[in-house]
Amino acid sequence: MNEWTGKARDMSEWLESLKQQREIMDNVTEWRTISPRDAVYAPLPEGLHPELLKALHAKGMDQLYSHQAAAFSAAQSGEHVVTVTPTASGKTLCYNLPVLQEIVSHPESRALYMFPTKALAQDQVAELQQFADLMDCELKTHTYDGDTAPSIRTAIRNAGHIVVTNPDMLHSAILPHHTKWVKLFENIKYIVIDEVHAYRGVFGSHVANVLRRLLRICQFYGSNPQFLCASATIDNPGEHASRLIGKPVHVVDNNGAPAGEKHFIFYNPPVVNAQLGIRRSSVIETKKLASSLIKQGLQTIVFARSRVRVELLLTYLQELTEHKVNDRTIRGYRGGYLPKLRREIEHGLRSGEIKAVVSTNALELGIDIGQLQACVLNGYPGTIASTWQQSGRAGRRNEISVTFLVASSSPLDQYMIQNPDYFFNRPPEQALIDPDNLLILIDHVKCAAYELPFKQGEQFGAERLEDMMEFLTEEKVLHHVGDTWYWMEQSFPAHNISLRTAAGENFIIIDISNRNKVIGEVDRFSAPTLIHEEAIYIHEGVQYQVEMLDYEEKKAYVREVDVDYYTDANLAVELKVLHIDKEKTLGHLEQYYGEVTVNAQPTIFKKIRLLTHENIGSGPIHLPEEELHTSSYWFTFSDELTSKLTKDQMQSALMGLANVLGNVAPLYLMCDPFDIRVVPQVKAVHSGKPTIFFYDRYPGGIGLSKRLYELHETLLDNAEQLIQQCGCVSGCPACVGPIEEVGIWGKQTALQLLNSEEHIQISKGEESDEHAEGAARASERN
Amino acid sequence: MLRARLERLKGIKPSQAGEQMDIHNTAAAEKKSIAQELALYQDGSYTEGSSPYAAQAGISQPSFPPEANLLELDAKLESASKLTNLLKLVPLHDEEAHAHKWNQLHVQLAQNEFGTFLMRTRTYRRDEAIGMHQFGEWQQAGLHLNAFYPEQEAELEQFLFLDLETTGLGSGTGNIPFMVGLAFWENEQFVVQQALIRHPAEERAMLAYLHQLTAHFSHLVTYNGKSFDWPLLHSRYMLNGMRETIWQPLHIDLLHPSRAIWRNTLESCKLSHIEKMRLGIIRVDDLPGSEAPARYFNFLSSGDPSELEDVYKHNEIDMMSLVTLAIRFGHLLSNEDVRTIVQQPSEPEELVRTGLWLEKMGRFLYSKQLFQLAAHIPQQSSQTIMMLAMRDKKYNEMQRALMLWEKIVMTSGAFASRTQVEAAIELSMYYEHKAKQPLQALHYASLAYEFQLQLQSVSRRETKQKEKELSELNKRIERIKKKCRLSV
Repeated sequence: MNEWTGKARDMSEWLESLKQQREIMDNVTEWRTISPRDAVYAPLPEGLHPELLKALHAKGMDQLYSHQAAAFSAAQSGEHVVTVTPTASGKTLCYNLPVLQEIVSHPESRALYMFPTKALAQDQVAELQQFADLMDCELKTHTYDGDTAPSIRTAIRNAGHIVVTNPDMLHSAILPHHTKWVKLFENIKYIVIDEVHAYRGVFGSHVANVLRRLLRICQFYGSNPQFLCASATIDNPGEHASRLIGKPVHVVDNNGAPAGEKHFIFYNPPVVNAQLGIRRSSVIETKKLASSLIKQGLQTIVFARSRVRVELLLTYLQELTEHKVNDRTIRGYRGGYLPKLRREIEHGLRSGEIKAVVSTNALELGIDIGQLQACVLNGYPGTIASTWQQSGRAGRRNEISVTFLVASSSPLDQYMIQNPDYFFNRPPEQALIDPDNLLILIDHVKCAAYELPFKQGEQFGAERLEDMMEFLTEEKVLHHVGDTWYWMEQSFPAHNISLRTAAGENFIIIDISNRNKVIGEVDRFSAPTLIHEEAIYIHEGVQYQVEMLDYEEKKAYVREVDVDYYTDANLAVELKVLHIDKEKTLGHLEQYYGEVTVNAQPTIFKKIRLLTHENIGSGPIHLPEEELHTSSYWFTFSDELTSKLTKDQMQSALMGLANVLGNVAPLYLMCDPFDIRVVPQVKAVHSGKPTIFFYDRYPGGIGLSKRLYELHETLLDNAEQLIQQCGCVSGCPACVGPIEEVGIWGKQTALQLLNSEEHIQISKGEESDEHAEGAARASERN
Repeated sequence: MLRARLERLKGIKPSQAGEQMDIHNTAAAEKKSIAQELALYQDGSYTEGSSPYAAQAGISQPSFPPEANLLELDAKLESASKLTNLLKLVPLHDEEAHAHKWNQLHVQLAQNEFGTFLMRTRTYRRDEAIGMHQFGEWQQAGLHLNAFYPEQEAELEQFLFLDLETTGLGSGTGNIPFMVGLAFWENEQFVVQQALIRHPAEERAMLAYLHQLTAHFSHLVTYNGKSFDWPLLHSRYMLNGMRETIWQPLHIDLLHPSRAIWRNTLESCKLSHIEKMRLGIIRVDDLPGSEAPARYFNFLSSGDPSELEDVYKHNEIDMMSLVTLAIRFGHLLSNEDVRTIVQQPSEPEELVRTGLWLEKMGRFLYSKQLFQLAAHIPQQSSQTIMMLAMRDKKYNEMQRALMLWEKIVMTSGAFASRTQVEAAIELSMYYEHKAKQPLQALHYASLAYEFQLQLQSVSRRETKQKEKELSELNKRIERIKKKCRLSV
């Protein structure tokens, strides 16, 4: 330790000094040290092409990690493979090796790589090119995405050995024009899908259908490609990959990559008001820990769950370097940043120029930013799988790394921080998709019919093809002649179908105070609550006020401002039950699974002061209502039970329970935060009874509510345990919600509902914690 | 000939217009059975019939009344040529659905080893026209289109005109060409063939015929066919597993020269607009091309051929409009003084652009006339003058270039224009490097600087850009000043 500067010599000295700091250690609920792991090697496989051997030797690779060798041999034996490994374990070689072996040996062979984002695709091309340069063979690798110049597209179609793209491009550009890609489709030997865990929920269900279409076209051209997939650690990699590609897969999970010692520290911000159960803001605690790391000169990544938090934290952390002019060593990173800026930041991280980055989960995927030294998670990332992925960003080989998990006061965070074994011992979540969601399926049947006419006897998804064909013929989309159905419509179906959201393209943010520059974008779901007029939109730590939202044109015009508040919007939700598919009764509780329509309308926004988070004003939001037809799981309470509570008490109880359940549900679902919603109703429209609804936030549903219906009892047990374990007196943000929201009886009445003989429930959906988070999402109220 | 054209241009009815109008009277007489007609073809005693739309040859004359329901007027089956004999054509059998209506539309059944489709054939005589060019002008003009591919000379009969009607937009695999319009010169007349598929399963037979036909041609003439029609057909051949046989034509896409010439002078470079503004073709009750798919879908569900009547008509006019445009470009490329053949463009910019295009195509004589004309039109935009001046600079015809730049610089206006800055710089460059008269050069460089300052007071460009432009001018001035001192 340098006594003059307070700087530690290295990580282990710093960790030791941390242990001496009472004010930190008092808040540490768990400190796990994960021992370093030695590498497990395997010899280079027999039969590697000499050129490939040459390249491997040139890269100093005289042996492989065990999982790389296993993946290679599985691929050679003709199986579809999914490799499951943590971050930075050399997984790309698992698929590059078989692909390169094939192309070096048979130069006419082709491979298609699919990554969830453009950025990942570009990384990959760079890596493959590096390999190719070491070999005496012509190997052309190209990205093919929206950024590809039209002038080189033809060359890529005809001559690219490896075409690297994303599912959206496959869906809307490559498959509908497959006749231009004959060379690829006739000679395609491998399809590589990295980050398969990212293809889940609605997006994953779409992608599974895109792959069905891809295979149908391959079949037309007489090819039968083999799939090579890679996944982060999830509970069901084999099942998930196999559902995604529609074929059995061989799972390779004998990770042989070495890892340095890792310290995983759970940090719960101190309680500042025991009675109200209010803890110090996780943002401020995160800032404190991250600052300390940055001051030590440790390259640090901070993950936050929302864009707003990223920007808040960035603002706070940049204060560290305020005294330096034009210092660009602490940066933000999130989806809304434009690609060029992101490439610059990624590069800065790899080169070490950038000392710290605050990111959303955008950096969770395998974008190459090198390995950092420390990681601070602001809030539990939502899933065990994500937590390990994010934590994996820190950890250089043979070096000690540290990850802090700073809990927010949301119930899920509090549950995790108080039950560390749950996190360390439980397998990560399952990735769920439903490729046969009828709406998604029929959309892709249309695209598939556009691509190639359907013949009688074909199969596409779980529905009977003839039924879908008849339907689409009646809709005058298809024309039936003999045993064939032809696309017969003017439109280009892929253009109307977006894989990413139910809702089509993003809103762009235009800064009118700076030459109408586009500074970012927001997805359509978030737009009503994030960029309504008068909202404060924070970008790269700078505040902007939305002056005008052009809803039709999907543009928000903002002006730079300097105010001491941010905004948080409310969404009013109305639910109607259309159809009940399943039901059962348990004590006071009736459970249902079925179809509902949801009407959502943003109502008002609140202005919340920075740092103190007090409410300093509000205003209305004028935006159109959105309607959603989806699947839902809900339960109602018996009249007997209802009669024991006043209407107000019932309101508090339902809201409290909904808060808890909305936070507990993600324990069992690996879904995007926007994919599932919880709404409590004191008097549901269809039955007049107190009800809690969960619904899939996608037309037709994607299987989330269905799974929750099955998990009903577990779900309620967990909710009860969480409320009981909470130390607060009558409700706090960590359980049923703050008293201001659920009233002083909230906790008690919620428990009463749960305890009454059997189980009883209700729901609602959003954490309320610090309002920082709330600003990023809509809080749904009835 | 020339007389007739001039009269048409001046709005005088063509002398044969009267004859064409007689079709009205003969229409009834022509309701012979198709079998009889076919017999006539075969013994060679058939005489040419005129095509319906030719009656509209009166061009842009409001006094020339449009013909109503042209299809009805014409009851002739056209042409018995070697190319049309490639295909076995028979009238639709009475048992076929709507056979009568098909016959009324002069549509026959075509059959080959891949199946059936429908074919409608028309001919256009030499003395007919739908705009300001008679189709017989192809004989003078057609071969000049060889300027597009000088390395391979084609005969008049080797140009195939093509235009598709499709079910959608773009070249995606779900877009089906349901009608293929074709035209070619044969036996001193134009033959128009319109192949139609009654449902997508007939596509293979139609494509097979098209392939068979194309073997007789070396050049393909289209409008926007390089981006649309041809890639789409290419894709259809692939989809139907017929890729080994795809034709590789020398493709002349007339959209490209049209854009080069009319980019700024016409509102749109759509064929339907150009034909109206420059070829004297007025369509009456024409079905907008965008509505063709809907008609075809109606036909698919009802089976009623009359849904397609307007589509046939639209496509036929498209074909003949394309031919007329090709004749116009052929005349232009003839490298003669064609002022009497092709209507003189009225806009100076169009004159200059036409000239520039001709020079690009290696035709220098007529272009000179055009430039000469343009240079002397008093009212014209400085951009046009600049375009011409830059052309002169390229060909080292400095005298006129200087005159033109001067003209731009002298133009007075409330504010200087960017073109004025550019012209002043060009002049300065000329006097500095070519004429070696640094004082003159300094004069124009200073003028450019002045213009630039004026311009910037109203420009919305970024400050950085402005500063850069000014500092470059400053550098120029400083450099010339040095030369002045040296020469003094």
